[in-house]
Amino acid sequence: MRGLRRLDQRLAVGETEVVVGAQVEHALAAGHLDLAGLARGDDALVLVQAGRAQGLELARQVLGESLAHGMIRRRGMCTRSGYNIGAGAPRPRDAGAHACTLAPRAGGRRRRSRTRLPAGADADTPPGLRRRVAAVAPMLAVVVPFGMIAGLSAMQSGFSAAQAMTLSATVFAGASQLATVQLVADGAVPAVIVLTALTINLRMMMYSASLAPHFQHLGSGSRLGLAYFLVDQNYALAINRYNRPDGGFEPWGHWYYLGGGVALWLTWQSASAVGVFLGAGIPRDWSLDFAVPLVFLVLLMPALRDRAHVVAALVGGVVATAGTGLPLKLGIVTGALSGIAAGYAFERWAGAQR
Amino acid sequence: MSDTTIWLLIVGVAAGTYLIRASFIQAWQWISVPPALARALRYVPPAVFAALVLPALVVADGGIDLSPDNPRLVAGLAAAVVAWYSRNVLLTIGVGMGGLWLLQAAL
Repeated sequence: MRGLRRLDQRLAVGETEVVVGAQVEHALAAGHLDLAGLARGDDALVLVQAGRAQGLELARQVLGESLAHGMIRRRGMCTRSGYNIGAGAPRPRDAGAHACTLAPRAGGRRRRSRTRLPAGADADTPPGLRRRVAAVAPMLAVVVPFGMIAGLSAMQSGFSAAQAMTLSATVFAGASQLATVQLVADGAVPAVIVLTALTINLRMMMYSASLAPHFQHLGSGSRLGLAYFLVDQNYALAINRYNRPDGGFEPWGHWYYLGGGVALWLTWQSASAVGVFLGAGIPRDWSLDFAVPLVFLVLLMPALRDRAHVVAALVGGVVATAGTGLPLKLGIVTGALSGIAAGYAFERWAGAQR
Repeated sequence: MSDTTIWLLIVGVAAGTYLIRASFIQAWQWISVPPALARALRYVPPAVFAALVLPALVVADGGIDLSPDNPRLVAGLAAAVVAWYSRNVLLTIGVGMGGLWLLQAAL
């Protein structure tokens, strides 16, 4: 099957798809699957680790089906309404409805219609922004427990409900939020907390660089707005789309990105709110702060993609642990930076060996 | 930590995170990404996540405790196994928290 071979190549691509590499593949699958069809919402994470044969095989199976599926659908129908986007998903007024009405028509008609589409509509054949949201649906399911823990642990660390919600709404990056509230609970000084949180979010600089060329036809204001929605899952969906052989309908790709970003944002805020609500009522002696490292554990596993990544993790973990006694709670950020350096050094060393 | 400090902290993390997000999307015309930076950034996730996880499991009462009497270490290891095989957030939290509560009750 040609589609599968193409995918294999994509699986081999490394550079930009770094962290979320395999989520990208899953995203592709997700784009053509309805949420109801996925028995468990956590499949996105199941597929994450590209290095493992099992995951790869599973990804291929899903992809194989979805590709066939996608091809049929791309011929022009958005009648199949299997998408269960979930309550939190936005319903873009223009694009979704508009594109859907255009969908069943074929070829030339559609092309003419496309020129009439408002700026908000997607150039991809039928289903417009709504399908973009549907593509992100399985990712949303993964975000929910994570967001709840973020809200909950903020409350347990002594944030007010308003502060916890503001943190989620403005920072909109789970790992750094969790680290922030954890360090607040540990009594770290603010400067170190900011430094640690930003180190965690450094990966987004890589996403930013990776998406930048695709946004350059847009105005500065649009780019500033789009940047806000740059989160792991949304990056994975978007870059996967831009990397499609057809270019992912490049000039309109940012609407796809925006749709996913808004869906993720709404889900994140809803889940955080539930966590804030629960967190206010749960006594602290339930040790729920322990849920934070548990979430990081789930995030860590797929990041162990090869030996260099394992080295980065080992050094990062050990240095952070050894640095527990460091003043100002600098241990975590020291460990993280050491781990990054170690992974990079190992990669160069291993490269030189070859 | 005072209320005002927490607010300032939120502003700081939010602003910094936003600047990271906007960095290359905004500055692409003027700055190209140094290849070394691009490579190094790939190691951010394993390094930071491990740096966050390991101390939380092995540090107890200000010291490193690698004994089986450390409930967070034991529960965390069980959760790590579950995380590795399942990649499931809820299951991992369930096993980790359940294990911790059991061990705390037993000790």
